[in-house]
Amino acid sequence: MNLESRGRQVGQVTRQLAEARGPVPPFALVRRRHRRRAWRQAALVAAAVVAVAALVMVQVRQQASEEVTSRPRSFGRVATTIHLGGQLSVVRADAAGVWVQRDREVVRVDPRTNRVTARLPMSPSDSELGAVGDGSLWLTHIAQGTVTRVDPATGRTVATIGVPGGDNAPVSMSMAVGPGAVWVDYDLGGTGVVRIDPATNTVATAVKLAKTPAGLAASDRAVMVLTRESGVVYQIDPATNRVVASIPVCRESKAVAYAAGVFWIGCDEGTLLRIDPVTHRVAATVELGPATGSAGGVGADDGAVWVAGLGDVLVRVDPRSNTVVGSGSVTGPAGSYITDMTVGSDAVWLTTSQGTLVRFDPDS
Amino acid sequence: MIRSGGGQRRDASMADPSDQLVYRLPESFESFYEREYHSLVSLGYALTGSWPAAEDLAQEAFLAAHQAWPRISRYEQPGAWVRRVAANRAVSLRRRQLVEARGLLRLAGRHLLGTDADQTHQAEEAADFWRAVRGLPRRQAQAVALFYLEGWPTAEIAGVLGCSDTTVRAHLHKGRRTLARRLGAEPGLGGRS
Repeated sequence: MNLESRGRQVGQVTRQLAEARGPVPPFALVRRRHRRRAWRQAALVAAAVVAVAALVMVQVRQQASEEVTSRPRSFGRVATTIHLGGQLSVVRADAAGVWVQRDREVVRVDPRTNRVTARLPMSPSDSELGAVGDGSLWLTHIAQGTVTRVDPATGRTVATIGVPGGDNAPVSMSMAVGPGAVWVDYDLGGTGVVRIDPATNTVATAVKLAKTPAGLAASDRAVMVLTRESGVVYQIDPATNRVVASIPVCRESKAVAYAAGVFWIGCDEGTLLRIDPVTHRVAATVELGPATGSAGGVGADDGAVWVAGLGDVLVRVDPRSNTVVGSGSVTGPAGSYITDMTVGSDAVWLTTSQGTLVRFDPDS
Repeated sequence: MIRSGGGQRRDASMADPSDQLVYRLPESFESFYEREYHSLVSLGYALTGSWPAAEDLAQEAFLAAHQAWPRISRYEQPGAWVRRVAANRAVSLRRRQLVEARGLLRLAGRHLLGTDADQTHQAEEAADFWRAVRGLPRRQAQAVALFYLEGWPTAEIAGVLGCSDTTVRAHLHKGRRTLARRLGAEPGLGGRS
């Protein structure tokens, strides 16, 4: 028998053997099983993290209790729900407004009127809105491994920038805009981060990482890069473009945000970590409560840290005391869920699976 | 001010488990999952040599697909995306679990083979064949596995592997030539491209 016949026969036999192992397991069961496993694995890491963090927390809380002058009275409220329709997958905010990816276009919502004021088709059409900043929209295109810079006033493509090795079609790309830099992480089966110079629209440098990156946030003094299921985050110094610390965190970090000198990391097991970029350590661990589930989205400003949990739960954390101020369902109809969140224009903005943009106003 | 990234993953990671919600999409995740599950397990087995690892791999790929479903359901071939995830993860899984996988392979083999002599022979043949495939360089192994499991033309395999049609042909040519030598088979290098 030649290789061709043998290969085809083996292919068929393998498929039959796969089917003989049993029917397709219900997906809900698969998810529960993997979640339980992740919990077990995370519990070991978390126990160690909590033990180390406990001493630090005591000190931080003592210090915070002296600093707190007025604690927020309550959680906040849904100010308005704007029906945009379509699939809303990404929301970002800057001084020019709130930007939402709706199917294959980006719409701008004016936070003063809560109305749509612009619609920009995306090119390439299967791009993702990665970030807004430096007066531009920045789109990622996974299949081509490129970043597209778009002028939000005209919708015109200003530049298309390829990441090294991007033609191998990365599995994921994430972006963050920092002062004088646009940072992009990408996963080609273990790759790294590139820094794009927005002045020249070129890749200024590439930082190789040992673990697969999975999201990042940037400030003027540090870039924090999440990694996939490896229990560490990397801190990059934008002055030298070098990794200056590998910080042990939860096993699966899901989201990261920066505000007021601190990075906040949401963990799959329902905790929020406060990372001090000066000491490169977890300065506090906030338990978000059983209703939150996985901390899939994090946003922050000077006054509050916001966490979007699995489903429709939004949690508010006080960054001075590192405690939960309140939480609740914010998406409206039962069964809907949060698809993304951001903070800007004195509000929290959440896109939902029902095609709505929720404006949540915090109580001060 | 937020300086936050990870949007492409983040929207996915917040997806609610409510299955009913995905029925709004052009194809529901459930039907996609039902249709593709056994193919993904087969691919996982070809690339890891372990049925339990293959099921794990397939399930992890589907979990990732479920999380990213609002995005990838818009792709022309969500099946290509989930296969790429599985193929890429198989590489690291094999590195991590090589020793364990060998043990599992023996156990799985016993479980699968049962008492039917013909089945036993076919399963052993398949195990031998995929073992030889896994001995190929990574990209060649992925291309060959997809070629024989799915029966796809090279252009579709290129879509999964994220490379050009020409590159896939080169991988297949080299891979099959090596395989024929190792398995003592006639090359018979016909193509479906």
